[in-house]
Amino acid sequence: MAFDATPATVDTTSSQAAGPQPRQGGASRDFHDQVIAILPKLRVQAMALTRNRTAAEDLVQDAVCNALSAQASFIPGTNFAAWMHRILRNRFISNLRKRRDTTDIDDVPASVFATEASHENSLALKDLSKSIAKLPSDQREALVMVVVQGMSYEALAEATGCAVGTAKSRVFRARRQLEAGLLGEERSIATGGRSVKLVAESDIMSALRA
Amino acid sequence: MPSAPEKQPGRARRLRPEADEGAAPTAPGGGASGRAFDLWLNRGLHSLFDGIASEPVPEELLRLIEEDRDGGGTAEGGADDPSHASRR
Repeated sequence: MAFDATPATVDTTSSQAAGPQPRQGGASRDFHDQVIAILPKLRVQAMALTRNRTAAEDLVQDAVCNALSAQASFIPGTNFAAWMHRILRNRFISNLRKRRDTTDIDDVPASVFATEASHENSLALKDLSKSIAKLPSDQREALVMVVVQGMSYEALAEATGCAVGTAKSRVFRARRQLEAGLLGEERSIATGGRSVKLVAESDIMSALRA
Repeated sequence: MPSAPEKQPGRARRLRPEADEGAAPTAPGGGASGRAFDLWLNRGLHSLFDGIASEPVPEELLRLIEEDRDGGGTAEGGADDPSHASRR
């Protein structure tokens, strides 16, 4: 996958690291500090792609190794976050091709997305996590990066190496597929009736009012 | 049915008028309920993923980065970096 090395704004939002904080330094920030700072976001992306904690941690470590070995090719002042996200994504794709993974994508433990949700929401979240796991990986990744990490569509497009329209389409399709799967396709296309599959609309309204 | 927005220079045409950045698109045929689902979905995603970002980074990973910073790293490379194609 060719990488557009056109200089772009340095990502300054990847500074919410858990654990040791990198040294500050503006535009001349040390490469390694940038890697440390972006680790939380990489972990979220890896989790969205792999749906498995162990695999996600391995993927992040592999991506970091790749980035460290390729640091000479990174142009300071360009979009480090996009560069790093694409490394991780490429590594994920590479691993899939090598492994020819035959794991049943539906066989993902509900606890893979462990939460501290209140009891009354836990069942709905359990169903949500199962539905998310069934999405195509690119849609799942796109949805998580936009909603959870607050990425713009433009940033998502750059991080995943696609057009902005494609990025928007992935997020939109992910939302609609989840809605169809959780609320029932009949309801999502408004044919009337209230055939509910997994999550009741009343549960959603109650959760929002809580 | 709202008309498609005018194309602005330098900006990609939106697929749908409501597909705004981070906004919750309105579900087909149902404004309030579709919006409610998107809001619920957003909250659910945060519940599922926010904890991951706030977990401590494994020491092993930090050590790997620091060793490379100090010049003693043995990180193996690969064909997965975005600039790999351009180097060949």
